[in-house]
Amino acid sequence: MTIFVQALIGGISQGAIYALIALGYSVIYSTLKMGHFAQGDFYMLGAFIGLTLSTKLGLPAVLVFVGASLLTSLVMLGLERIAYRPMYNRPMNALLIATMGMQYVVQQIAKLIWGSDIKRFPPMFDNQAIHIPFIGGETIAITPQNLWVIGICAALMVCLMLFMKKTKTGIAMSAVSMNRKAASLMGVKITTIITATYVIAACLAAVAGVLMGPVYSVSFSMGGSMGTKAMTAAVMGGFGSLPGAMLGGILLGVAETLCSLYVSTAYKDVVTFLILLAVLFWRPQGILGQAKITKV
Amino acid sequence: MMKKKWMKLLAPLTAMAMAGMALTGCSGGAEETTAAGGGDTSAASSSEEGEDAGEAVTGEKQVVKVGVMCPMSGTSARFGELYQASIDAAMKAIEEDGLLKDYTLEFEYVDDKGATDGAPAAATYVLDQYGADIAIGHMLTTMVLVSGPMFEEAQVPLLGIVSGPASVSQGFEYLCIETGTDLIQAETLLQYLVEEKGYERLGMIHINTEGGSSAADHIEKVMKEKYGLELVSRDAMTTEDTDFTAQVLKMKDGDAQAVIFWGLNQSQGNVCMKNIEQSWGKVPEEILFAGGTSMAQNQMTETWDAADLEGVVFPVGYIPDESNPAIVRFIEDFKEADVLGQDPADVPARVYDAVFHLVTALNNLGPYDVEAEDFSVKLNEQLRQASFDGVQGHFDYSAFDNGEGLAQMSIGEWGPDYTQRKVYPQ
Repeated sequence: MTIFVQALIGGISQGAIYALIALGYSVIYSTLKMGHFAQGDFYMLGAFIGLTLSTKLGLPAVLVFVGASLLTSLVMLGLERIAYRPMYNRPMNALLIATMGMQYVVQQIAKLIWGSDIKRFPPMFDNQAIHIPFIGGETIAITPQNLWVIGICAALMVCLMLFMKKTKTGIAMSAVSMNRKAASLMGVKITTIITATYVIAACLAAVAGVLMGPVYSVSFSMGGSMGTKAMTAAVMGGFGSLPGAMLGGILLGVAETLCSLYVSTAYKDVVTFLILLAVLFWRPQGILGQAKITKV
Repeated sequence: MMKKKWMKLLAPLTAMAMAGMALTGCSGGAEETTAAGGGDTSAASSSEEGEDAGEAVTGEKQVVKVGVMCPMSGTSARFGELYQASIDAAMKAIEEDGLLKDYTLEFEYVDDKGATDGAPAAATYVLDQYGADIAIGHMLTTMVLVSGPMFEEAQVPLLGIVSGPASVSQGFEYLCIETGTDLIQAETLLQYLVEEKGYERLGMIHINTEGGSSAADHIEKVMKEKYGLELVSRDAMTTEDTDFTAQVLKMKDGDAQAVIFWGLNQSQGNVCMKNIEQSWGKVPEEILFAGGTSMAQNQMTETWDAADLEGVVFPVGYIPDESNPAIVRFIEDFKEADVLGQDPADVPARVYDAVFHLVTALNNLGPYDVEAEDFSVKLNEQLRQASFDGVQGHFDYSAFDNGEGLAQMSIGEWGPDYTQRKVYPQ
């Protein structure tokens, strides 16, 4: 039982990172109805910017998070202006391909600026495990890092939900996702909404990058696989659904860890994709996604 | 109308321009490698000058052409500098001791880009355009697998600076590798953990590549057949894994005494070590953390804290040893030759030993006409039988029939402030 709970904590912590990046995918999809393949690479960019703010400028943790979010958003907006905006009035495939190409652009920018070597990111939180007494004299070890990751992810999700439901911009984003033309006719500035969407997605990716950087070090190739896993989580939870993205991320992290523990690490990707297939077979729109109603 | 005429002209003009660029690119590439090689024969130049000073008649010594295939551009370009410094250091020692009796060595450096797709072009240049009698090079086993057949067909020996067991299992007759394979590393590590330290319960996490899996299979096999032991747990990982909680918990449940982490990515090792300390016990006081040869590399200092690294052990060919005069000399000469003045590590040691391997083989061959058609064949025979003491240890190629020469490696341990020391064999 102790081992199970210990693994569960590790899985939830890992899943929370997937969830943060998956939230970015879902925000962009829910508003703009497009997949953003480069989201994982903005996670990498956020990690590098956070590393620079932390080591070169010696900023405290809060400012590292804020600075990385802002700067990553600026880069995202700049690249959106150059690469995505010309594609908005073209077939959706063109925009998708642009986002796929953006993956490589962002990677090369990072490589040019920071080089191709792995860089160590000094820890921002204490790594000393807190041992909590459990059943039968055993203890469960939780690190402050785990607690911060889970806490920050939960807080960001709640803030995002409140933003989408209670603020004018959030409501406008929902309106744009339902019908862009109608929203425009009602006075919603589409460019402002697009900007807000990308800023939110970039901030989420950057926060995830800064959280993971001290755990895993930072390299220009760290975004690819994380982006793939986060997209899997977003699809599992329901592409476009914010609570779904969070749930999908946590489920993915827990499934990976429990499979590694009870089956084999060699098969964890197989098991997680089997779970994805099962979910999509049962609910094609994802666990918390909304089914499309077609009027006939 | 005018626009149509221009459009008609545009297609053939574009085709001619592309053809012209392609031709320029072909000759330009060769020129680049020639320029790179031509300007970098300092080892050969100084070798010739040194020998001229000692020998009255230079015509008696024949020139052996050595093609050196190494990365000279891109992200791995630093390795090219390491190759050159190692060769310069080796030639300095050879000249000072008058070790090369009947020949002079000429080195031509060729950019193989440090990637598999760069290997064929480099090999083609070395064999066809430069006409090398022997080649040293390649950083990756996959590169050797690609260029190996070319050297086999040309019957020109290749001294590979690689450790992948796949390189020596292809049946190449003209390949020798200048370090121990991953399998020898694994055996040496097990000797240390089981025979020296007395551990009986080992856990292992290995990278799921062909090299990692074959090393893991070999470790399991040796443990069972030689020591009658079984691994407490064995898990595979990918290069993208960022959490090892499950693997660590399995090893903890099995009461493992040491963890073997056989991976490629140094930062993953750090994550695993931290997971061990968080969920299990102190490293190395309670659980010994042992790695593959990737744990010996200088990149560890970029991804691990010095305090985390203390006590981590690893198999390695070369390790600094102040009690060994040959190693002390190697370090001094290398630092003098290196553009950055750094201490040598594993890869420079392999290149250094490769030069001494060649010199040993040439001395054993004795005077022979380098222009003879079978010179490379005769040289290869001597290379495959050579025995000498290198900075990585004692090489004996006659003890193997597949191009391996190093049967015993060392076990190193990270000490305080990123220092390394040898802990086995003493």
